[in-house]
Amino acid sequence: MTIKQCYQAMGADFEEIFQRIPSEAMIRKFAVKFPEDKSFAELTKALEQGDVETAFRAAHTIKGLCLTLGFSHLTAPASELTELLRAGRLDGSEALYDQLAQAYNRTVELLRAVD
Amino acid sequence: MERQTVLIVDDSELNRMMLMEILGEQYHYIEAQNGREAVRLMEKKLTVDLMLLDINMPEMNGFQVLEQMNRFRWIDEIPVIMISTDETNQAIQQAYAMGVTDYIRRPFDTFIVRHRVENTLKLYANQKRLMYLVSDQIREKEENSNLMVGILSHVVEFRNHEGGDHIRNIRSITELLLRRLVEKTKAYHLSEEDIALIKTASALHDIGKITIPEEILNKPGKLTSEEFAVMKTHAAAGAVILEQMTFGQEKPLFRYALEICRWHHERWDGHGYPDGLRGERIPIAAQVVALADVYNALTSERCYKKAFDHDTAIAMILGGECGAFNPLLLECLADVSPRLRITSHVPLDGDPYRLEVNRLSDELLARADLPRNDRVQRILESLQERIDFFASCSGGIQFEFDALSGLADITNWDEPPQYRHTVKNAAHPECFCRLSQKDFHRLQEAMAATTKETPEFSVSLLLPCGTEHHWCDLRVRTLWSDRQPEHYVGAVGQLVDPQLSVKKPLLLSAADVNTEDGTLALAAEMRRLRMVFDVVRLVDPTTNSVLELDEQGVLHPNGSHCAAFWDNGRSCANCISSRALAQKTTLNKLEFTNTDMYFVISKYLCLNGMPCVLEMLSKLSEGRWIDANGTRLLLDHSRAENMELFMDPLTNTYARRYFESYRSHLEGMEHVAIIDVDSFKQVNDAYGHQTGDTVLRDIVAAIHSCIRSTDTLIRYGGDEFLLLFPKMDEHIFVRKQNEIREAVRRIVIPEYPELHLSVSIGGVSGVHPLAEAIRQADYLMYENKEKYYTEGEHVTPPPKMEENIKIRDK
Repeated sequence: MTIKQCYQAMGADFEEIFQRIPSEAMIRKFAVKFPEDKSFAELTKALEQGDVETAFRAAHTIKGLCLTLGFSHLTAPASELTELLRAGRLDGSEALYDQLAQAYNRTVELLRAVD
Repeated sequence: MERQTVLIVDDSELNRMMLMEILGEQYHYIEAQNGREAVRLMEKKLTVDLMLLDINMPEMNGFQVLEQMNRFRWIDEIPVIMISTDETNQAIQQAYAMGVTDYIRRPFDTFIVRHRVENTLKLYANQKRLMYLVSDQIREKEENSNLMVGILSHVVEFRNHEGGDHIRNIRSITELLLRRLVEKTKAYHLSEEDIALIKTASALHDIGKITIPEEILNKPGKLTSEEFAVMKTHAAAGAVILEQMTFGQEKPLFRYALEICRWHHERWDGHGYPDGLRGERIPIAAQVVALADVYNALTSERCYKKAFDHDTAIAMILGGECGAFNPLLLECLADVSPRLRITSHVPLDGDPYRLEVNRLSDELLARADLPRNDRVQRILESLQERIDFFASCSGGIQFEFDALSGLADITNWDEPPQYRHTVKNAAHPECFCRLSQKDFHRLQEAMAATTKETPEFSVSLLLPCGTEHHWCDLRVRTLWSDRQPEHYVGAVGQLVDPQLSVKKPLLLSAADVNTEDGTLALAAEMRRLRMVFDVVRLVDPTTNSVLELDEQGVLHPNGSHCAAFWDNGRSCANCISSRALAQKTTLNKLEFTNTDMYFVISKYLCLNGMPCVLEMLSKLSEGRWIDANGTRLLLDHSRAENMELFMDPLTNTYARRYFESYRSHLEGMEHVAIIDVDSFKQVNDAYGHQTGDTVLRDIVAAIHSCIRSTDTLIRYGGDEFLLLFPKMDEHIFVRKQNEIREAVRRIVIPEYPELHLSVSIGGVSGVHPLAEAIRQADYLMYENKEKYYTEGEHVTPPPKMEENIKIRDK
């Protein structure tokens, strides 16, 4: 699977990122590193421990990465969770986290399938 | 070219990697995982050409990094581009306010990232190159820095009234002593370079004196113990001035200068000041300069003493009458004594820059000090209405002569307006061609005989008038610089042809009033004059009484002393009214109250056989002419265009620059208040900057409505004002602060009637020096402000009066 096909499979907007980073090779290089980023693991752990501050920072980083990488399908759930946590709230984070985790896991799976 | 270094501060490795990939291999990268790491790297003084900074990070976030960068001034050298995801506009504004150069929002574009980084680096590279260029030039031109040291020290000695040779002598004597010292001992390890440096640094030994008030510095008599205590601060003050320099601290010259400034009044026996160092604990440079200074002080004339001759001075020093010195240095002094005798007042070192230095600094000083023609011009302009009025009454020719330019501005009031004004060069032979040789000499002699104390004279000159010759009265007032040494700077005067003047129909041209009509006309004239002059009164200088004119035209003393008006606890030093009476003429002068300056015209009159003097007083505008002590014309120091630099264009108050420039003149101010606008930032944010400007203008107007023209209002910071008052009752000062708060509270901005304004004020009385007074006032102001915020009164209503009085009394 090419990186472009991968984006299409994820439901992300490849054209958008290609405008900003006009090199498929570079996009690929960045994108396949996404699963290695520790932010999601940090988020998971922080939420388990009820550490809002760390959870917020991790969610915020994920949101930033998704924006940069053009993972538009992940941006919305990441953003919603970030705002909730920014307000210092954990109630309702579970549902948002589940939603994000589902999309995240699928994204990671697809990215691992990129040639 | 070496690769430039980019420091990437981001907690996400992927983010850092992406930025490095995008920017490519042309840069060298350093990575920091969080703010704290970045600060640690900067502490190590790593060369960083640019920083890319994330906001949200563990340990220390981007704003905290910026705080540290501001605190340590790194922000001045390292440009920062902030990269962030979803920050509010307020956060972005804050980032800019904290000095970031640029801001990139995610998702970013590779093109934009590359170009912003490139542009920022280019911009800073230019700036850095410029800095190197400038510092190179400075290094290259050591001659220039010698010149600057020379100018600086000459300026200091000028202020100390020490005459042009003081610094030069100190340098020569220091060198003589040092050379003899190294012949005698190797103990001090002084190289030829050290001698040269100490010699140069010796010129700066008294720079601390610029912090000493003029009255103490140049007091002719003995100083009181309090005054002496102030005087003694100059040693430490000089060191502080040097220590506050942000460059050059590591230079040997700097070290010597610091030692000399701080310790040139220490004594070998430990009884000197400021630190009471004893023996060899006093650095040798300071020891030598101290001895040179004492010898030179003894052999020079000072404002408080005459000069001693060389032998007496040496005997006094060796006899221990003038302090305690290193015995070895005293030996050196005795050894070089024969040479000193010959050379002490002859340039020893043939310093090639000396002449140039003196010429340049004299020029600088002359420009700063001399009341040039435009000062006269401005005094006269500010009084134009009055002068015109007076001149048109008495006619004649008026002139203003500026000694510096040699030009005379001449106004002939007997000519039609278009021919009235001419400018003549006094050096030109034609200028005085109408005078006879004899009259010309009389005029020259009379001019030469004037002093600052007796600046006026009048002579009668025979001048051609049409086909005949008339005796004309010439009245001249010479003008003198306020600065020591006194020097003549020009003259103003009036030439009147009595035969022409009497033809004038106006009453005041006639001195004798003998008819009832005349009396009435005088009363009417005085009423008219009162519209033009601030004070118009009749006095009898023989009894010093002020006279009232009753309806019958009879003069009665009204019981007050004529000098009481001046409120300076003495009679006038130069009573022109008694002279006007004796000479049956009209004279003028400048006279001071404690706070104001007046232009005084005294005109002789004879009313129904009773001689008296009509005094007309004009207050010179706004008290701006006078400093806190009421003795010096502030504008002597600045030309009109400079004055504009000193005014804040928005509020038309004095600008901070004015305060910094005239700080020493404001030193004597008794009451100091800091006024700060409450919640001004919120006003700006909520209502916009234009409204903010209006608010500031209205607040200034409110403050002005509460203060006198002799009080000084300075825009000290954005929304912070400094208010200085000369002496007054303390309860009035407290009342004034409340009045100001009230006046501000009453301000209504028509467009935003809901906007309530208030100010926090901190005021102190009798605290000196000024810097300390400001510090304390600032502290009180913040205390009051805190009270204002914690009590939540900033919504409505404004702070209550009683509470503020309590705070004030604390």
